[in-house]
Amino acid sequence: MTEVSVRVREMLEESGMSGTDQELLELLVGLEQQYVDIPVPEPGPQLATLLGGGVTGSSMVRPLLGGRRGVVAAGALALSGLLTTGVAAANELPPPAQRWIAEFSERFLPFDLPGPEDRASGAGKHRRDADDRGSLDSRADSDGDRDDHPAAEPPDHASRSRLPKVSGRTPLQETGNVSDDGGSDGGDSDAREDASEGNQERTGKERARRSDSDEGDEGSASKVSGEETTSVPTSSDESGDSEDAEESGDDQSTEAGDAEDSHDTEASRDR
Amino acid sequence: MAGLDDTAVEAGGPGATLDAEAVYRQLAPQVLGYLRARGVEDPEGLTDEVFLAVIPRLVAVSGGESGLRTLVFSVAHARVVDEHRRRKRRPVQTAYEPDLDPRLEESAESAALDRVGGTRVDQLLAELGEDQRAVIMLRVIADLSLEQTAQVVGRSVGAVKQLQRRGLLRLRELMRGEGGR
Repeated sequence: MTEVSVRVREMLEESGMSGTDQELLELLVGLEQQYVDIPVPEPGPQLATLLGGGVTGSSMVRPLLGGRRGVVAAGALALSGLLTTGVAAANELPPPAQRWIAEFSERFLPFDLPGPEDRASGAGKHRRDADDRGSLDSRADSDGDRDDHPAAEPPDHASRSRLPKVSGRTPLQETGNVSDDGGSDGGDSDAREDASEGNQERTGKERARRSDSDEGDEGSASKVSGEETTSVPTSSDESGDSEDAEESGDDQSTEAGDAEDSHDTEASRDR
Repeated sequence: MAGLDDTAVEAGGPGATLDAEAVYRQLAPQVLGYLRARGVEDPEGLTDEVFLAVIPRLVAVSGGESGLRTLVFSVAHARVVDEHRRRKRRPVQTAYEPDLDPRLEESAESAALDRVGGTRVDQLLAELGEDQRAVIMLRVIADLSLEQTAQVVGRSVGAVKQLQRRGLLRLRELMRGEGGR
């Protein structure tokens, strides 16, 4: 008698039929033979993967956790990349890191990120721009057309140009320290008026500043003049320069200032 | 019925290492038979689902072979109940097949085959109530004890014993009724 028969007999005994009903016993044995003695079904692909290699229960959980960890790691990596790019774009990283990222982006990326040298304020940038323009100034200086366009600011005085302007001019122009020499606009007359009013109490320091502003004016004006004219200086320019020379002679200020002015004059004449 | 191999199941409680493939080889035929006897639509696919649910929980099995068998058939029984409920909500519509229509006059040959083969068993079992059928099948096909069966169906041992007794009596009546025709 098989074990199943033992189970069936047990069932009959528990139900008070005690195995006397042979027909019922045969029916239950037939049920067992029909549904128990069948071959092992082929596992599906997913189950086969799970069963492969003698998988134990504890190792079932690891791949799921590993996958989740991978997703979390990928997300964290993407987030850190985005944050680094954003901070680098804002130029907020420490200088070495910022420099490295700037070089990297310049070489390998389709966009450029700012370097630590770009971190300086806008004045610094203006200063660099002015330096760039200064090279143009020296070339365009030969035009002698200076300060024809007051809108063009002297690059070396970018900080000064941020001061409030009065009647469209810088404070230096207001005080008459700016020599609008050679210009054909109203600046000339102002300068002459200042000169005629005996505003000759300039210190050597002021003269030095004036010479600076002259250079700046030359730069801004020459930039424009470089675009507009390439011709020989006009007579008014020459007269302006000579006027400046006269002014410097009248001023009786420091010799250094006079020397600069006379040098300007000579230079303009050379042109 | 051959029980699970002692090497496959260690009766050491939770954390015991089980050979999943050995468990599958040992219990899959019985699970498939139980699902077929309960008349599910896709017994093979459901067998896969049962073991996909059971294998990750093997580490938590306690009670050795008995506990493992109870767990496996608890999952299988729950799947059967789910499918029956789903079928009640959305009845399956199939094309009409005259061969399967029981209202037709059966031939002498088919009647003889029915008596010899398992179809007669199925027909008799189909006359039982749902719970009676489940208890008898779990005891015969899954080879579960009264206590294990009570755990699987979520009833008391006394209730399972009563269901079993009524089911067997009903089967006997049906067989005697057939013999009296």
